[in-house]
Amino acid sequence: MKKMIFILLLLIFLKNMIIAHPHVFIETRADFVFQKNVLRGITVIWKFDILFSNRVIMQCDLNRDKKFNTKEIAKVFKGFFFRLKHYNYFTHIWINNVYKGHLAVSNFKAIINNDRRVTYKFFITINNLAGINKKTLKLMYKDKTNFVAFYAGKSSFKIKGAKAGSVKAFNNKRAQYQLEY
Amino acid sequence: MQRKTIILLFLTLFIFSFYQGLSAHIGHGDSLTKAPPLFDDIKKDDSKDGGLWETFLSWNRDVQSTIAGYMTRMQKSFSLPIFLLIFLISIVYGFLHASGPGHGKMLVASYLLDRGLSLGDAAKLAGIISSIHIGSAFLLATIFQIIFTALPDPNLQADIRSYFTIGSGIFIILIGFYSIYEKIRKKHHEKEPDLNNKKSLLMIGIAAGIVPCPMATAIMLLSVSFGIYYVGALSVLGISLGMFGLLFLIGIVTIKSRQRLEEKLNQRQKAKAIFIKATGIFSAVIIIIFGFLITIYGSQIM
Repeated sequence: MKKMIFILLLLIFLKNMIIAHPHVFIETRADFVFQKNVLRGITVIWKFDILFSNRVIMQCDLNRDKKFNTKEIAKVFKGFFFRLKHYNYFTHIWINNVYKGHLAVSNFKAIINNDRRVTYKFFITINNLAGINKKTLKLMYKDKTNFVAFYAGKSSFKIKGAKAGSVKAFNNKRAQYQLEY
Repeated sequence: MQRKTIILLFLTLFIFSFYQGLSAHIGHGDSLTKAPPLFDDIKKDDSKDGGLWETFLSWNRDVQSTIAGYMTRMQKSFSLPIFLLIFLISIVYGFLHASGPGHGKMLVASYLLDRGLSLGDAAKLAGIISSIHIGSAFLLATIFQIIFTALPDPNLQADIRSYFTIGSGIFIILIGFYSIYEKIRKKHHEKEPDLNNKKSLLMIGIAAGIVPCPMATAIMLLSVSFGIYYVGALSVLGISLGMFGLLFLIGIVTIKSRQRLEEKLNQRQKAKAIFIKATGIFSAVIIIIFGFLITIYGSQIM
């Protein structure tokens, strides 16, 4: 009986791994934005697979000009992006290993690329870092329900506005980023 | 004593799933916004770049984009070799995609282990699940696009997926309990022939396949937007065949393993009786647990 309870608990905690599998694929990038050598935020860039992109285009490119205008971007935001708030925008940030929940997101944009893939771009503000000297920031894009899978190419980040050599950054294929400064 | 423990266990599971679902919907429990496990220092560990899961994902991604790429070519001009190639790749994709988590593999194995059915029944079950899973997606895309000529609000689509998943979970829980009820009833009426296998085979097939495949819907919608509806239909048929192949393979392995074990236990009748009883109860419990997990998962889709 104890074994069965153990299996049950294991199944509960691994349920998303057992039941769910990705249907949407996102290629990620992160631009770390500094001002006076203090990190102010991250510009998140997600490029979707062609199938999901097609759904967004079909539903939001109302005039069929293969571009999103302001009105259409608002439709993408309302129809597709807004509900990601419940998932913390699939964006997880730790600063010195302390988790930052409830992210502040602004400047949402949606673009249709020439290859018919849709890109989302939005900014996450990072506050209250001025007083801390040595910092390690970890960033991970992850959908815990496993419906969306994230991946990143080599060096898929940019450091903007920091002194050369003052910031080190790394990322891996799992869309996990690490920043040291 | 055992019965009390089982009741307690299911009560705990029920309260847990109810709480998870409720908190996810209301947003208070923040079950979805709390931190996932913190990853290690990625500088020190290069192995984080690989792994089985990553390979599975990249295969899925590559095959999916290959199909989409060929469909883009077909949009420009029809080519029979590409048309057939899409069909073949779709079969591979269906097999590959279904080999990942979900798609009712565990349910098929548990059910076949429980009932001790034939290979023909395993084929029927695989056929029902794959055709309903893919067929419902095909229908959904067709209805959205042809009848309504526009897709409904994306939020509504996510809600539909959530309700379908919850419905499927509850349906599976009921089948699991029904299976236990049948066992108890059979114990009291041992001479009664089992006439319910066909009915329950259909029920488990519907329950496992009822959630429309989002990938098949997406492929159909892409083909519709390219004006090559027939290519999407062929691709979806290929995916369905691939999924059927995998589920049937799971069925064959399960049935053969059960038969081999039973043969080994033939000389020890008492052990064989215990094995049959144990696999029956264990499978029914696994089916119920899966129903619970699917229900919880469905309630987390927002």
